[in-house]
Amino acid sequence: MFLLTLMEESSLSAAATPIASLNPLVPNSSAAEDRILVDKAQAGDTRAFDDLVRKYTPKLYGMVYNMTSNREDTADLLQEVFAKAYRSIKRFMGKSSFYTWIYSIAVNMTLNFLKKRGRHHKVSLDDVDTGIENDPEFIRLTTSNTGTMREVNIHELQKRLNAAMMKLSEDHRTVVTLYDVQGLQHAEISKILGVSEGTVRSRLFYAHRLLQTYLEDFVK
Amino acid sequence: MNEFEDIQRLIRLKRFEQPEEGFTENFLLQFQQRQRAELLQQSSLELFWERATTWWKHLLVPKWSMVAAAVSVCAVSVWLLSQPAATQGAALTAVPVVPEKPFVPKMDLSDLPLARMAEHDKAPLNDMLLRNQVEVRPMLEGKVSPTPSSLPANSLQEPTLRNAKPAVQAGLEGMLGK
Repeated sequence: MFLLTLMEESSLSAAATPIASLNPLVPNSSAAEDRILVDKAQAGDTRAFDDLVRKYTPKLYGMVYNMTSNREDTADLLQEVFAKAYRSIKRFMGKSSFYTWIYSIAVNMTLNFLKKRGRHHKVSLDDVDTGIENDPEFIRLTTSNTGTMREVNIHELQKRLNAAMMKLSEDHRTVVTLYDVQGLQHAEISKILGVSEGTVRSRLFYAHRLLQTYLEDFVK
Repeated sequence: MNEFEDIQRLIRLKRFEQPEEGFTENFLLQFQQRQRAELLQQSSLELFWERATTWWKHLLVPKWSMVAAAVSVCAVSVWLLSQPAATQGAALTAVPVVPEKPFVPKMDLSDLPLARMAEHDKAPLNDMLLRNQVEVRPMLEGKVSPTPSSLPANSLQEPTLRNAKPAVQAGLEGMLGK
């Protein structure tokens, strides 16, 4: 509840925060750059593929980490994702954008990984990202007007957020991650998941309702 | 206003959960090492495959040819055996049939009457033939008529030299003109 007040006062929006740069909405110029890099990679230029890895690692990290809640699993999965993309790059025909293609690979591999790991994975405190508490923007958003640091326990907030996300089914967690955390549009999510936009909206609505229930003491 | 706007704002805080600084470069280094390892592994596999196929070719190609030859021989044999007998006989008619010579047992000269006579009189066979020539030829030429005395008195009497002696003497006298 304190957090929400602070967030409202800080007028939190995706455009106003540094994480706007993480928004995977790819403008046309970026898509064109991707196309050039992909063409080079398909011709055997490994440096071009390295550039694609550099560009998409932070974005995919956020997606995979919010699905797995484990940094080591995230790093391992990302290695698998890019290895698979590298092996398949010659079969990429360009019917979709590269970021949709790489996101599809990442989502599918993460879902497969989660099925193997099982749904009863316990989220430990070690899984909480400790780096977030040192993020200046996050501190600004969670600091009271008097300047006192963190009237709410940030660790507790992170833990509750992760726990609430992990309570969701994999399908619902995926759409929440892609829409709320990654900032993708419904149409893009439907392409990545291979489902209709209506299904995406339906899953999103249900997931938000569940999360509101799980985190009601933070939002009211 | 979206009824879930508050919870969405809260969830957006997770966007701050980013990898630590330097993660991307370390990640890229690991990825490159992994790529190289995969390439090396692939090369080893390809090398092994090449060696295996080469060995396989050297080992099995002669055997396969032998097997193929054996199978061909068996197939031809089976085909020949499966042909009907009439067809096989027709195929063999071209060969001329050679008639077998009848078995002729070795003649035992002792069964001849002259041989028995010679044995009985203990006279050589040459003398017997000469005497027979001398005795029979004039009669065949009509100079001497066979006399009943020269013939055996009956069928039971054997034509011995002693029995023919008077006929021979008569023949000789006729030839010499007494």
